[in-house]
Amino acid sequence: MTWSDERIARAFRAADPARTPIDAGARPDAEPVRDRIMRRSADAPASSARPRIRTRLVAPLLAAAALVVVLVLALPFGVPTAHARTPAALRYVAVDATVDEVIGEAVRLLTRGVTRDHSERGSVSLGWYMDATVGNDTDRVVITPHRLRVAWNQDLSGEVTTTAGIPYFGGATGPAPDLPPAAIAPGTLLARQTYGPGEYRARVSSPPGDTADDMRALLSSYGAEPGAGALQTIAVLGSIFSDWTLSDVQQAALLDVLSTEPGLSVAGQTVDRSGRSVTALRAVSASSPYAVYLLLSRTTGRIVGSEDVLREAVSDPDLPEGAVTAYTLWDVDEEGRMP
Amino acid sequence: MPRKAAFSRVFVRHYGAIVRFVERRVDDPELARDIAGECFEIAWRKFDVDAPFGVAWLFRTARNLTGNAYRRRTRDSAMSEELHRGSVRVTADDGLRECDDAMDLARALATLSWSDQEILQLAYWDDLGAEEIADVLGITAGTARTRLSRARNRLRDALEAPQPAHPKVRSAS
Repeated sequence: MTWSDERIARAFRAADPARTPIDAGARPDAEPVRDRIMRRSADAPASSARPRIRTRLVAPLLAAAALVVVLVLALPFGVPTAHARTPAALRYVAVDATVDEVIGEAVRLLTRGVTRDHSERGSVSLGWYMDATVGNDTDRVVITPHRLRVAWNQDLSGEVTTTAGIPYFGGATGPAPDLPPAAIAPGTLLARQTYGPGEYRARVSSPPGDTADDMRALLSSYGAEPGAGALQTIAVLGSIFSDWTLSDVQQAALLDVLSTEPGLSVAGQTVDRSGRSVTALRAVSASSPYAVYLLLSRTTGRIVGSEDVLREAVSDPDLPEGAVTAYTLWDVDEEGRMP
Repeated sequence: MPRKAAFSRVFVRHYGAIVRFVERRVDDPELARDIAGECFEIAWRKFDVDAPFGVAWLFRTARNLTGNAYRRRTRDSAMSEELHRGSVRVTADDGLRECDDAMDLARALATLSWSDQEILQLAYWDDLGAEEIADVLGITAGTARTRLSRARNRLRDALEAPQPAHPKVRSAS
């Protein structure tokens, strides 16, 4: 069938990623936005707003709260649970330890410095985040983790590649023998973006220092000021860990800083999606429906993962309390597994 | 008309379009609203009730505010990311064919140059005419028409070229 102008226009409409209604400016909730704009910029110089945007550029995973309604690759055999749309939540075994004790143990392991003795531009991570829901609850959804490899240089040139990880059905914690036949083949190159000199926009381009103050400065550069709270701080860690693979000593300093942030508790111990034994810290904020779990390796003390979990059920899309909406694993190898 | 009232009319009429413009070029909806807000803050500071600017000025300002992120994110935009994840968003009114077409469109767009993608997006997504596109891009209207026409032809060629097999989405409703 040929592509008429009308068909192309329809396809553009169907593929439009914009979510905001075109008449958003006329809606009641836009009035305070308009009033704030007129009030805030009454005396402000023209350049004053940009730093605020930079801060928000690393706005936490709260953006993930915008769970959009999309149609996904769905397979025709069903497990009729909302959980089939998301990976199974990790099960945490309670431990009798305080946040300070958990972080203290991680710092003890990290200060041995046996895993990584210097920071490095770039990262390798394995992740998945909820981007879809399906109108039919009997469908099973294929979870395709992505392996993200970020490599960049001092001159801000670099490359970011995304390849498909090993797919599995929603409701499972990870790969299983019954791989979905229609899923994207593991290792498939999904995206490659190259950056010429000066084009890669790392918020911090020089290697960070090793002290707690250095880590506070790093966090601040990525949008988490001291006192921002544990959830915001962990969200910012995700951005930092995309640009930088930090040394053990730096991670220890980072955990020291994190321990002072409000909203942190001990979730327990578990095995992460790469099979590593971890202790999890849980961060919540009154303003977010999500809890974020930060996974600390019990072997190395390093921060090896984070998971976003709904603290309350949502109806659109229909997801229960406890649904995992995103996860990221760090310190994985080029195949997306634990080295 | 008082300045505030005149600006409010501009805001009511165009705020949604500017947020949507930015949403298509960054993948963080909160950031999109921030950038749109900053665009209107600048607009408010410069607003002259006797010489109101056109909608293209707003798009151009929003485009400048997104800066390099605009180019980077558009290449790796929400749509293409969804494509890569094996999914594209469809509205409730869209049918299966539109969904498949959207995936084919995303693939075809990805084969075009950045400038072709941009001008097509301005035309189809932002619903701008050639003169408005020219104003946004800082080119003449004639050049905009020529570039748009060529981009459409290249898009059609890409759409009608043999496509590698890919999984089709299946409606759940």
